[in-house]
Amino acid sequence: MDNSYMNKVMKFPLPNKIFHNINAITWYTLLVTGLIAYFKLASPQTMGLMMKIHIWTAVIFTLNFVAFVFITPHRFYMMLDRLFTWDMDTIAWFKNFGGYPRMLGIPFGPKEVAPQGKYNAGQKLSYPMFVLFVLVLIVTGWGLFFFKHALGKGLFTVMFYVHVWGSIFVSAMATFGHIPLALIHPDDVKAMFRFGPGTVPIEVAAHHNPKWVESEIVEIDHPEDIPGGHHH
Amino acid sequence: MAKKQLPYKYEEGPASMVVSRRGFIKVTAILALFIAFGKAVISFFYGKRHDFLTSRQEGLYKDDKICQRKGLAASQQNPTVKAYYEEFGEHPLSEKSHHLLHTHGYYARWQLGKGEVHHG
Repeated sequence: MDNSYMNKVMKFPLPNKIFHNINAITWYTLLVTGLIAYFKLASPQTMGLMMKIHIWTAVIFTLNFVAFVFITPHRFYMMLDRLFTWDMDTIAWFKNFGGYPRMLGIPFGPKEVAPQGKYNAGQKLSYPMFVLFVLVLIVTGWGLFFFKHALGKGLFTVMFYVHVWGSIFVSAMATFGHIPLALIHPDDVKAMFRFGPGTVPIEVAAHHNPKWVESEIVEIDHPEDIPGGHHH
Repeated sequence: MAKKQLPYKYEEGPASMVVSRRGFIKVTAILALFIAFGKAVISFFYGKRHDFLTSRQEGLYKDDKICQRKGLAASQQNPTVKAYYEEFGEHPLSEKSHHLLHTHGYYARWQLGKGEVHHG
């Protein structure tokens, strides 16, 4: 009997994986097409094509976010509640920044990392910014697209610069912060991107997210575990 | 029996286990605050646009009143325009006036690379 499921915990359920991965792919498509159009890195015809791709990708980007929020509002609320819940261990994480400087050979702060939930303090700082900017980019983007002549000069300028420079700033955070930090956790990367369940070994979760494992995880009854249950 | 297929042993508890009543109110309040702040920012700048429009409208009405007082409310009342047609431009919409007064050089800026727009 295959017992490999025995030590697995579902970390990224399907709705979260769909939202995250479509968001990631469309984000970078929007970034590249947007940069080419804004900095005029191609011929007028190519820039026109880039804007067309930009707009149609934005449709997917927007529907993806709207679908996540309105089809699985409980998952959206669980995420935000975790991000906005700070306790003493969250603050204590900053004593050694989760031990990440030590990985780079910088002996900063104590060796012991304060126990964290599903998100650590760094994620609690940066993820709300990501979520906020998904919404801000949707609002400013469609505002600029549909109401460009009705916005007035002041609002147009504000929306335009928030859209362009805000997205560049958040993309830099994702590219130089979020992605490298995710890549040093291969179990999380595999759980998020594999075409299969978003599971990680329970030992890994217990090490990185002890408070999550302790208070938010339940055990599923498998028929094999029940005496007299289903047998092969 | 369907659960037998699940390739994992542990999962997150239901939302009611993770998000308390207090947490639900907190998240809703934060979302409401963000939306209200966004709306306030947009309203502020949109309100300014309205101010610009109304002050421009007021200015145009004021100019119109001045023109009316001086008997210049319409272009055909303007002695300079009258003199132009009597001495030079023949009559309104004449061939000569069309070439002299019609403007060129309008570009549709919302269509990059399309070039000059010709009409008339």
